[in-house]
Amino acid sequence: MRKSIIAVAIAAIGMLFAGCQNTVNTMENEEKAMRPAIVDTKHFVSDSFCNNRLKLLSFRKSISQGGVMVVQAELRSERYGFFPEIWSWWRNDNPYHVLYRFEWLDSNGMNVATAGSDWVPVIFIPGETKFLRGVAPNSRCNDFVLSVVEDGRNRN
Amino acid sequence: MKYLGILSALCVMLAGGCGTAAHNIDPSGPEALVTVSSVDPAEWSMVASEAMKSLVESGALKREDGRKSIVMISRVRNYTLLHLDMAILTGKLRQGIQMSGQATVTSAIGYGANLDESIRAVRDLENDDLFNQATVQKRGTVIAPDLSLAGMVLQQQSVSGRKEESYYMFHLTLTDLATGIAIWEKNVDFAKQAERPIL
Repeated sequence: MRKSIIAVAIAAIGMLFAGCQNTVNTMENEEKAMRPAIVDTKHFVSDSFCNNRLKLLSFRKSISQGGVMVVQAELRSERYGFFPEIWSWWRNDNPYHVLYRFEWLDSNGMNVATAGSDWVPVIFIPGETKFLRGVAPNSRCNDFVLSVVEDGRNRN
Repeated sequence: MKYLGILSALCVMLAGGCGTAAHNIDPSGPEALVTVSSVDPAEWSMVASEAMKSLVESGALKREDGRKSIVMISRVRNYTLLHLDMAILTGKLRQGIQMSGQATVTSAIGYGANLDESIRAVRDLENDDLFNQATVQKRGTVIAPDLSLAGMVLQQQSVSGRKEESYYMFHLTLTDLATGIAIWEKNVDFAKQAERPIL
């Protein structure tokens, strides 16, 4: 009996803290007018936690006015719901901080280092969808690698 | 008394063991520090990256006649109370413009580290009999810029209780020097927050 009371109390406290967190609700038009060019992607996942917390919804590409390739990854934070919210409260990980970078390869497969090759911070509120955009440094670069890592700065 | 000495020695050894040896880190990577009171390497990278993405994507650097535009890097004004070395940003922007294939950057005119004074200095050698005059660079050969890249950075600080926040906004403008019209503009902003400890 006593154990049950403790378990209920822990669950109630957890729900209280999780309930204090703000998550994002979204609305969008159902019938889309866009005709995007989809990029088929190949993944290498070394951090399955990060992979589970951010869901890749789409990966699109286009050619810009400047004649360079533009790619856009649509990612949504999956850290909503009872247990993920308790966990992110416990880890002080709400909102979720990640770093990303696009690295571009030329037609010979050689990496072209640019200002955009550095890690760039981005913040996800639970349930939020964000678009990470990469722009090729020049018209000779048409292949890319997108890397995403949890932002551990000041948490070491 | 003897135990107190041993305990003190242990504490000192423990405290000494808490430090880390000097090591290399990725300047914008997950190990880098984040401070409220300054612009950190990851933020410089973010500003340069967002600006270059927008600039290259817009096509503002391209000319209709097919010739590469010549860009001068003008002044990025620091309206904050901090010492910020704008060469960190302009250096990344220079590299990005050169790499774009849409334009090239002049060092003959510009602000701060973006001006190479030797371009004028070598032409002052025309009256110096120490030098073979056939090898001295002639006047009237330097190409004037078509476009100017300038900007500013602003900071606003707020304090509420133990929380301290800094908001930074970078504004960059590319101006057509023939008409004086701004043909591209970009704002990149970010904010940082920290809570001071009670003790």
